[in-house]
Amino acid sequence: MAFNLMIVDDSAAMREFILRIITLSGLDVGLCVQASNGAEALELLRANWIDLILTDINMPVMNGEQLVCSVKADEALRTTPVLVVSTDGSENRMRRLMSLGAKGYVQKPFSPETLRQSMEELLGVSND
Amino acid sequence: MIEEAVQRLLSGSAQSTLETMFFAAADLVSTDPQRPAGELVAVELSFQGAPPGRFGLVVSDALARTLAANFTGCDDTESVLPDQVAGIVSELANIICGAVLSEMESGANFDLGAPESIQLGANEPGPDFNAGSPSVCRLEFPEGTLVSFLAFKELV
Repeated sequence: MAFNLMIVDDSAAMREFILRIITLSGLDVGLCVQASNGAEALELLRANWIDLILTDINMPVMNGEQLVCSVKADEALRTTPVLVVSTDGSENRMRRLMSLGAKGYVQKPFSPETLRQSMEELLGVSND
Repeated sequence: MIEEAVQRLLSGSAQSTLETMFFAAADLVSTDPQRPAGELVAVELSFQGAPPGRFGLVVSDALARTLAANFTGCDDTESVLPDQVAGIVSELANIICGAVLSEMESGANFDLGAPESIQLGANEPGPDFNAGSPSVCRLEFPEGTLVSFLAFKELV
């Protein structure tokens, strides 16, 4: 089964890096939509079925915290899992994002294996 | 004591970031703050938190191109555009600084400012990252040198 993914990060280089890691991981990816901030992501989420959102926190226009809140407040989107991928690995920030509704948190720097495992957990993919 | 802890964190974070996301392992590690020779890419970012401060990075141009190529999965360092190199070195600065602050200010909040990068000629003056008695991590690679600086406005 192919999964539709969304990568939200204001750095085009980081979005491409994450996409490359996902492609190399062997995960069956259908559509992979990219957005440079939360507002752009919300528009694209309303136009595409997405199985997992990977988002940065610190972004212009609408940041990752606001995106998580907006996704959770939207009847049609609230079940879509959000994986936060951020340079900010402080306990405070992690707790806050998880309390807002994020389902996972990966701190940069991350290894390809760490990202793949977190994604597979949220997508319910088994390695057996 | 705190200075030593920051120094260790900076060195560990820089090496870990370069190894896991830029696929580059340093040959030599030191605390020499001297500017690398030749053309450079420099990045500066400020951060707010308790305490606030400033992070700086200078990288030899050839090394910056190699790191950018590794990050993008590109075989040819010459095909990575200067803007891409600047963006990727900015991302590197962002990740190293964030990793240090995440450890130092785990129970607090911090905010990283947007990184600003500049290309410097061999003898062109650049930002003075040595101001404010920063912690320094110098990493030597076959392609060149990367030096990172972290200074807090008020060390608690």
